[in-house]
Parts: sequence; C-alpha cells; structure tokens
Amino acid sequence: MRELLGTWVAALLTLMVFSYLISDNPLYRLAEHLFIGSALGYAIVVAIQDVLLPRLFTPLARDPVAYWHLLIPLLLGLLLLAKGRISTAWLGNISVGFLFGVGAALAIGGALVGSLLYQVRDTMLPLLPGKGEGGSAIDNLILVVGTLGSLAYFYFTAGGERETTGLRYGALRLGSVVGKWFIMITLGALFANAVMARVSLLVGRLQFLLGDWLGIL
Amino acid sequence: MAPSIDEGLRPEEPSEEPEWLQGLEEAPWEPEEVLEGVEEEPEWLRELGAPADEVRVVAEEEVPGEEETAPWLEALEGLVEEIPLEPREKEGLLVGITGALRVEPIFAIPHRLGEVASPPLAGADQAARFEGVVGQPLAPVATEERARAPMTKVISWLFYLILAAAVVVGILLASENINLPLTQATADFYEAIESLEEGSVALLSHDYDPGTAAEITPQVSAVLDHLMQRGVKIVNLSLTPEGQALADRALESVVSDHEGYVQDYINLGYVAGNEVGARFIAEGLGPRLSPYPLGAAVRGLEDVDLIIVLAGSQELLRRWVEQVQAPYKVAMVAGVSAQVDPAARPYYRSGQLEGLLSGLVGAAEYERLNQHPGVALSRMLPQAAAHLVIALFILLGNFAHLVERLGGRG
Repeated sequence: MRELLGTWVAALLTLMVFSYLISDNPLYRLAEHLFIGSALGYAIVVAIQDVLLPRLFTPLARDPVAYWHLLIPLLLGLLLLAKGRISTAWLGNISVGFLFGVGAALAIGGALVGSLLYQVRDTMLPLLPGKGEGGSAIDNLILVVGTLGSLAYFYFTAGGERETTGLRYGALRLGSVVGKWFIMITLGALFANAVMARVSLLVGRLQFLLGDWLGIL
Repeated sequence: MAPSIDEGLRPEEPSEEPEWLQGLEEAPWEPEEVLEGVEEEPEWLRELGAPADEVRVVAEEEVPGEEETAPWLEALEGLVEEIPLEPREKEGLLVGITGALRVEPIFAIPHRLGEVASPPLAGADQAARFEGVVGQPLAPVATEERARAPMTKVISWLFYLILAAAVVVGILLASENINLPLTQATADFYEAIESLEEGSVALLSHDYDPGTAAEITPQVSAVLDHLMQRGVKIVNLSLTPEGQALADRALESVVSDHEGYVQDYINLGYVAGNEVGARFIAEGLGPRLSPYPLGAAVRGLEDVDLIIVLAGSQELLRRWVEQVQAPYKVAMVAGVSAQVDPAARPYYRSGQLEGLLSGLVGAAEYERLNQHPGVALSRMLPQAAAHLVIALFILLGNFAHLVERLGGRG
C-alpha cells in the first residue's frame, strides 16, 4: 500500500512538472515548491540526525568533561545564529571567518596540488611521442595547441591601441583565434553532454510512468 | 588614492600674483570686507567648517567672479553638502582628532559606499548614453514577429510530441541485447574492480541527488553488483544529504540478489563539511568505523584498496580528487553524470582517475562488460532515438535559417 501510494504521488508530481510545457501554471509551481521544501526539510533532518546529535550533543550530554573541546564548535555554531539580527550580526563574523579561512585554505591547496600541477604536467607532452610514451602525435598536438590557444584567448593585456603589429602581437592574435575555436568546440561538447543528461532524465521518467505507474512494460 | 575633501577644495597657489590681487595687498586684511565680494557664503562651506585661512584662500579665488569654475568643482559642490562631519574623538590617545577609523564598526556594520566627492568620471558620457539606451521602453513587437509567434509555438509542440513519441517507442521496443561499443575509460573502471581480491575494501561515495539519479543509479547498481560478486567489503558514505537515502535504496535492491553479503557493507551516511568532510574521511575513517564489524578490517584510509566516487556534479568529484586522491595517493575511479564528463576526463587522462563511467551510456557499457544486463542497457534505445530526433531538429533549424538568410539576401 505504501509503495502504491508513493508511485501515485511520484507519477502525479511528474505530470505536474511536465505541465510546464503548456505554460507556467499553479500545478507546476506547486510541484516546484514541494520539491524545494521537501529537499530543504530533508537536509535539515539529516543534519540534525546524522551530524548534530551523534557528533555533538550526544557526546556532550554523555561526558561533558571528556568532550569539552566540542564546546568550541558549539559556540561557533551558536554565534552563527546571531546573524539573524542586524544589531548582533557582527558576532557571527567570527564563525564565518573561521569557515571561510579553513574552506579557502583547503580549496586553494587542493586545487594547486590536486588539479593545477597534474594538469600542467599533463600538458607538457612530446609532439612526436616515442614508443611507450603514451598518446599519439595528433592527440598531443591538439592538446598542446588547444591549451596554448585558449590561454592566448584570455590574454587581455596585449594589443590595444599601442600594439597592433609585431611578432608578439601576431602570435597572440593567431593564438586567440585558434583558442576561440577550441573554446567553441568545448562549449558545444558541454552543451551536448548537458542535453544527453537531460534526455536520460526524460527517458527515466517516461519509463517510470509507463512501467511502474501504468504497468504497460 | 583620492584627495581629501579639503585638499580637493583648496586650489593650487598661483605662481604669479594676478593684477587684481596686487591692488588688494595694500589694504589691511578684514575677512568681512573681503567676503563682501561674495554674494553669500555657501552653505556647504559653512558645514565644512574650514579654518579661517582656508576660507580666505577660497574667498580670494571666488571674489573676482570672472574666472569660470572648473566643471569638476561644480559637480563637487552638490555632493559636499551630503557629507556629514566626522565625529571628534572624546577620549583616549586620539582626543580632539576627527575622522579616526573606528574598529568596532569595521567588524559589525557591513561596509557601505557613501557619497564620494570625486571629479566626474572620464566615461560619464558613455555611461549616460548606455543608461539612456537601456532605459528605453521596450519597442512593441513587430507585426511580423507577432504573426510568427503561433508558428513557433506549433513547432515547439511538434518537437515535444515527436521527442516523446520517439522515447516511448524506444522504451516499448527496448532490448537488453544491443551492440554497444565499449570505451577505454569504462573498460579501465571495470578492470580496477575486477583486480580487487576477495576481502578487499572499497569506499563508495554516493555524491548525487535526485536530479542526476536517473543517470547514476544504474551506475551504482552495476558497480555494487560487481563488487558483491567479487566479495569486496564496501564502505558507503555521501557528501550530499540526499545521497545517503539514494545509497540505501540502491544497496537494498542489489543486496537482495547476493545472499550472505549483509555483514560486509556499511553505510556511514552523510558526511558534512564539503572539503573538510572529504579530508575528515581521509584522516579519520578508522575511528569512524571502529564501532562496527568492518572497523576490524579498516583502521584507516591505508586499508582501503579503491575509492569509487559517483558524482552528480563537478565540484563533488573535484573535492575527492583534490582533498583525498592527490594528497594520499589512493587508487580512485569515478562514475559521473554526462554533464560532468568534460570536467572529469582530464583527471582520467592524467591518471588520477584509473577509470571513468560517463552517464547512462557508461552504466550500460558496464552492464555489458559485467554480463549482467539491467536498466541502463534497456534505456539505450530510447536515448538513441531521442538523440536522433534532436539532431534532426537541429539540422532542420539550421537549414531553415540558411534558407531565410539566402532569401533575405535575394
């Protein structure tokens, strides 16, 4: 019975979302608000049940002396609540500063070590690779030219009124034209992948309506 | 740095005295008499409370009334009236000083841009012109365009109907025995799991939400199925709140096909903290698992043989690669939404990801490799039909545009 009810609710909500194809209407907006509300409510419950209770309140209630250090995150969390009033909002800046500091430090360090270094290293490729060096000459050429061209396209400090001739200007201009085409092809690939992802959603929903709801399949 | 208000008002001293000033030099200085030349002391000057010396300098410049006031000064005049006087310090080391920076408001009050007395900007004309263009009321829709609107609606509806029909027909005719070419990235993913021995430990992160579940749930099912076939212990968790519920559902459905596997997996649920959460798992996996039977086999990340990230967004995948894979050099594979594929591929190419599943197609390839056809393979025909319809409409649209353009030239 519970499963049947769930299937009907899901099917009706799917149809309400599809009704947007006709035009923006109250049914679509109801489904939209339900989705946002339930997602937010769910996230709050998960945060309380999986994070706050087991990792903060339960240990503190069980043995406050042993877990005294948990008072620090508790205090920082409470200070965030002060953001609700303009007069006390400055108190929350301490917690926000802490969050930003730790988050930025990890994100910047991670981006440098985990992404930038590896990707720069992987762009230093031989244009005539030998055996066992990996990649074909064409692959490597496309990668190197595409990277340099894209970087040249975003090199804004060259050219202008004072510099309209010369080798440097010519090279950057050519590079930016090549880079523009690479960027356009990349954006095309991104768009095609986005379409593919949406089509997968459509197929999934229609399969659900025909199979689980109508029982045709 | 912009000049202060006082500096801005004070004109530079002339290198040579003008003729009119030479005549005045003989007379004794009396402010009232000099100011008689000025019709009335401006209000903005009174509010400024400038010292007598400065008033005198300004007055000297304004007495003749012959020289034109600079345009920037005229613009400044209106603005200066709005600027309140800075409060004077009443205590502490700075007693008597006005305009000292106060510490408390910097923390407490969000910074607001006040009325700044500055000369007119160089591009003010262009900005005014831009504002004029942007501020123009919208022109009424041309008759031709209005006539075309119903036609556009009909074409849209035709497109929706044909697309829906293609997908429905594809679903009805779907077969699991389709000839699907395999990509190297999927084969590498499969090989990474195939190489795990019985009793190995895999950490599976379900970082997706209902919006991408249509693509990633088939991947999860196929991968879980393979892991359980191999007898691998699985630690599940999620960096998204929704991921843990989706993980539970996937685990329930796959475990029912694998009797006797119940003790070998665990779902740790949602791990909060974004980057910090990922790093927390890398550093504190052992203590987190210690209360459970799996804790005996996993004392830390070093006991994990493979990390499998199933990510619905680029940020979530990057979080794992940057915070866990790169610093701890752990073997990692990823399954991603098709939309994330272009961002994930460089990590696969650089060797940071040992394998990559991309979208529903990746899941279908995996099912075929594992010889366990499932929902992904059954969706390949409707997916291909929808792609065909979209490609045809793009070609038709471009053809119509070309004809229209050529017709316009003719």
